[in-house]
Amino acid sequence: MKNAIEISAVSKTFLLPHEKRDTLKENFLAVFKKKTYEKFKALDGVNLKIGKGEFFGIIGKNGSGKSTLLKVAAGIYAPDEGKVEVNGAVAPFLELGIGFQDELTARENIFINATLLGLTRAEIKEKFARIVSFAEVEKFLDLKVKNYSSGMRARLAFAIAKEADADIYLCDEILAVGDEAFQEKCLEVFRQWQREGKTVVLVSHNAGLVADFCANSALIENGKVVIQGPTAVVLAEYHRRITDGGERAHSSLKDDFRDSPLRLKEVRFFSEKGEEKGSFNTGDTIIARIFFKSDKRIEEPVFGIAIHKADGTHLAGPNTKTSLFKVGAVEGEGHIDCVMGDNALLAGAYDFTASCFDYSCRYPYDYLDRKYRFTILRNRDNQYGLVEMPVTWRIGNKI
Amino acid sequence: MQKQKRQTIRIIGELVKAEFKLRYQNSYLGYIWTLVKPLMLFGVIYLVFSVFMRYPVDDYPIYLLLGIIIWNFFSEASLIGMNTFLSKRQLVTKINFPLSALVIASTLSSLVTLLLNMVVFFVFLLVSGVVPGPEAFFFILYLLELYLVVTGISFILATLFVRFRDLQHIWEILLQIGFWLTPIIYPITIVPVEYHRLIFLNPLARIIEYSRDIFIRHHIPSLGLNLVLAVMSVVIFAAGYAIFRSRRKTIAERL
Repeated sequence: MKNAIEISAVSKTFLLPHEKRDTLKENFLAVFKKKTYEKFKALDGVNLKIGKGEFFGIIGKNGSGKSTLLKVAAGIYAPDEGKVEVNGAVAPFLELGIGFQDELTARENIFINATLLGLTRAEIKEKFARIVSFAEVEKFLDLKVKNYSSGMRARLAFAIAKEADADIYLCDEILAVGDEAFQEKCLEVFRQWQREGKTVVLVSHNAGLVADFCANSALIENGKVVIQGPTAVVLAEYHRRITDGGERAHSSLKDDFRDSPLRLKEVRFFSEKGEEKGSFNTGDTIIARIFFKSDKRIEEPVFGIAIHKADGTHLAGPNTKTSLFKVGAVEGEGHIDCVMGDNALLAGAYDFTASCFDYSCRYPYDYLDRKYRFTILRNRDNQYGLVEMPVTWRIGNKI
Repeated sequence: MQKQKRQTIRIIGELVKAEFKLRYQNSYLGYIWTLVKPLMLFGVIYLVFSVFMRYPVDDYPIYLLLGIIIWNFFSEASLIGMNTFLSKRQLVTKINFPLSALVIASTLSSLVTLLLNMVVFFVFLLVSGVVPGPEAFFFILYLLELYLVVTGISFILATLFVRFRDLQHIWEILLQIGFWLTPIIYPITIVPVEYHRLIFLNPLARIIEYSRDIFIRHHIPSLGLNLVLAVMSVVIFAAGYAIFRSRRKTIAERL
C-alpha cells in the first residue's frame, strides 16, 4: 500500500529582507543600496512518511517550521529541494480558516471555498444545510465574513473542509479557537474520520489532542525532524526540551551504587489497561513499574518514589513503608508497581524518581533521582495550580 | 485530467461571480460607475476635439467612444488583473488550486463590464444613424483577441507584481503613455505614414482600428492584417502564461 504522504529530504528557504523601509526617505536612500536578504531555512532536510488512514501529529514550538511543512504537503509552497508525494485528494485547513474573502458573505464564501476544495455546485447545494448547521451560522449567512468572530470563522472553515470529502486532511491548530461545544464537535468529526480511515495530519500545541488521536508523531525543531515515532515518546521528548534545554546531570549519584546488591534497572509507565504510555490525563491511573535486580536475598527493602515539578518543587514522596505495604524478601530480577490511582496532578511535565532503601530507610540500595519523566496532558476541568484538590464548600452568614 | 479541467472551470465561474459582486457592492450606482467613467472621458474629449478643434473624421463621436471603451477595458482589466494574487492572498496562501483561475476570472469579470459597455455603444451607434452590417460579426473575433491580449498581459503583471510592488506605478505610467500612442482620440490618418508600422506594433491600436472598420466604415480588414493581429494576440497570451508558469510555484510564499 502506498503511503498517503511521503516527504523526502525536503528543504525550504525563505529570503527575509534585512531592513524594513517605511518612510519615503528610507526608500529613496535605499535605491542606491543593494538589498540584502537573510536566508531563513524553514525546513531542513525533512523526511516523513505518513501511512494511509493514519492520524499523524506534528508538534513543535512556534516558528519551528510546522506550518511551512503543512503548506508544502498541501502543495501551496513548492520545496526548494526534495520531493513531496501525496496520494489522494487533500483538504487543507490551515491557520484558522481556509481563506475567506472578508468582503463577501458567509453564503458566498461557502460556495467559493467548497468549489476550491473540489465540490460541484450541485454537491454544495446538497451539503449546504449541513455546513451551515455545523458551523451554527444560520442567522449570519448573509453577513459579511469580516464581521465574524474568530470562533465563527473557524467553525465555518471547519464545516466546509469537513464536507470536502478529501482523503487527506491537513489541520493546523484547529482547536485553538472556538468554544468547548465546538471543540467537542470537532473531536466527534475526528473520530468519524478515524472510523472512515481518512488520513489526518494534526499540527497542534495541544499535546492532549495529539496524544488522543495520533499513534505516531514527529517533533520539529528549527526546521528539522528531531524525533519521529510513537506519540508518547515524541511528546516526552517535546516536554523535556521545552522545560530544560539539555541533558540533566543527576547521573552523578548513580555510580555510588555500582556495588550495591540491589539495583534499580528502569522505570516504565503503564495505563490501567496495561498500555505503556508517557502521558496521561488528570484522574487516570498511572502505574509506575520499577524493575530491579537483586544479587542476593534482601529482606524487606523499602521502595519509594518521588514526584517533582520541573522547577524542582517536590510534590510527593511515598514509599512502601509509609504506605504500610509488605514487600517481603526479594531476590533476582523482579518489578514492583506503584499504582497512582485517580492521580491528582494537573497538566504539565513531572519528573519521577525511584529509590530503594533498607528497612531503616537510612541506607540506600539505589536511587534514580529524577531520571524519568511523564506528562499530564489534560485537566478534568479548568483548574489551576499543581494538583487537583477535592474540597467541599460551606456558606456561612446566609443573608 | 478531464476532472481537473472541469474543476478549474467551476472555480473560474465562482470567482467571476464573486468578483463581480465585490467590484460593485457597497455603491449605490454599482455597475453604472464603470459606464460613467468612459462616458465622462468621452464627453470631455468630444468637446475638445469635435467642437473646439475639429478632426476630419466622419461619425467622430462613435469613433471616439469605441476607442475609449476598448482602451478603458484594457487599462482597467490589466490593473485589476495585476492585483489579483495580492487581493486574493487569503485564498492563495491557504488552498492549493490552479492560480491561473484567478487571473482568468479577473479578466473575465472585466470582460462582462466591457460587454455591458458595448450595449451602450450600440445604442449610440443606432442613434447616430450608423447601422452595422454583417461584417460587425467580426467583432466577436476581435473581442476574443482583445481578451487574449489583456489576459496575457495580466498574467505577466500579476506574476511580477508579487515581487516588484513598484510595478503598479510603472504600469499606470505606461498606460497613460499608451493612451496617447494609440489612435483613440485622433485618427490614424493624421499620423505620418512612416510611423504607422510603429503604432501598429501595439495590438490595441489594431483592435481599435479594425473594430472601427467593421462597425463604422463597413469594411473588413484584409486577411493579412487579421492574421497578424491573431498571431500577436496568441503570442502575447502564450508568453504571459509561460512567464506565469515559470514563477507559479513561488507566488504563494511571496505574498
